[in-house]
Amino acid sequence: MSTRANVEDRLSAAFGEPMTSAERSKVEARVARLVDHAPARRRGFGLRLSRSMLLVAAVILMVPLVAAAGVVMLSTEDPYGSGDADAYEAELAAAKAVTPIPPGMAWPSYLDQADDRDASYGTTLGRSMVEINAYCLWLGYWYEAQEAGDAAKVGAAIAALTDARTWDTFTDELTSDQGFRDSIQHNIDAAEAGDAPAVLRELELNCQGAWPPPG
Amino acid sequence: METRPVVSTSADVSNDHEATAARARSDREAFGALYVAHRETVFRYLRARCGSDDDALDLTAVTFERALAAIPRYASRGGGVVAWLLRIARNAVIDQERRRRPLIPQWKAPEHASPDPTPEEASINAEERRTLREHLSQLPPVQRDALAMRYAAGLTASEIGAVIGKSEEATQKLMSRAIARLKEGLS
Repeated sequence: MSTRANVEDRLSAAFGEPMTSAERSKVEARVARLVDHAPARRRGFGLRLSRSMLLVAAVILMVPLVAAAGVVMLSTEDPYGSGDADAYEAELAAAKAVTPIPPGMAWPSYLDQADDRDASYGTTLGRSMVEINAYCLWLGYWYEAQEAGDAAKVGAAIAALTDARTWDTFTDELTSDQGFRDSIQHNIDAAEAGDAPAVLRELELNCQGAWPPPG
Repeated sequence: METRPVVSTSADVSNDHEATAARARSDREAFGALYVAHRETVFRYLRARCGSDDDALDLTAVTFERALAAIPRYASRGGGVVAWLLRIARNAVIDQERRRRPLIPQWKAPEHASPDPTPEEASINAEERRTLREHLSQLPPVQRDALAMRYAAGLTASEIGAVIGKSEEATQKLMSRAIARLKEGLS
């Protein structure tokens, strides 16, 4: 029978353990690299801003009322920057407008609106959601074409997936973790190598909301 | 480099950290000192909050990467630099969960991603963490956050309140409810 003190002790013992030297080295290598190259990082931010400006420009063309109200805001409470549900939805719309998906396929409906109107959303989350789903749709398109022996469609999917390798969500250390990025790149490798079982495993494990398309 | 074993909440140390944070806006060495002083706190919070130790390590790095980018805008708003860093860490976890959620409820790495458990995963403590994580994952996110900040990162109720946007009293009540629920689940 657990007591309150027992629960507190278990939590402290299990999670209060210090980092091991191996764990510390892993984090330190990444952080030290950034600190040592801070000017280069700032240039990187310049590029990110340029991409953001393109997205904002697209929003201004598509959703003038929202754009007029200010699409993306930097919250004083969130040091990295976040927006409300409206800003998130505007970012989704802008990203969908510039991210290709396979012919005959459609965006999942959960990319139409925020799931919680009272929540705050990271400023890059909308674009990430769109890029992850586009990746899944192209992977599904590749798998169907590969199984059907349609070389033209396989080629189109490979071209799109090769381009997807460079999308921010799959390359930017600030928007996703290393394990996730490695896994995405590995699965694109699998498609390029014609490894249908590996691609199907990825579709079944991590793309269920996007593929197969509804209906 | 020295590792700080527990979170200190004394006014003197807090003032030192504020001064370091202020210098870190333009001084890379000061940012390094900030990292050394708080990496354990951030990692322990993330280890209790994430699904695995590997995720916690990745997000610890992401937290300090984001902090480096955001440090020019840093301003103390309750809870000081610790609360500021944990707000970044918390947002990183929430964003990660959101990215994974629509595709599948519990994101799973493909089998080839990590075929062998690390030595630590094989340890008894790692097993205990898995058990506790399973029960923590049943709690509402804000309760999970509060317990991770209290028992893993060692923050006070006041500091936790600064991160989650609640008063000290409300935070204490929230933690009591969370412990009671966890106790029930573990019994």
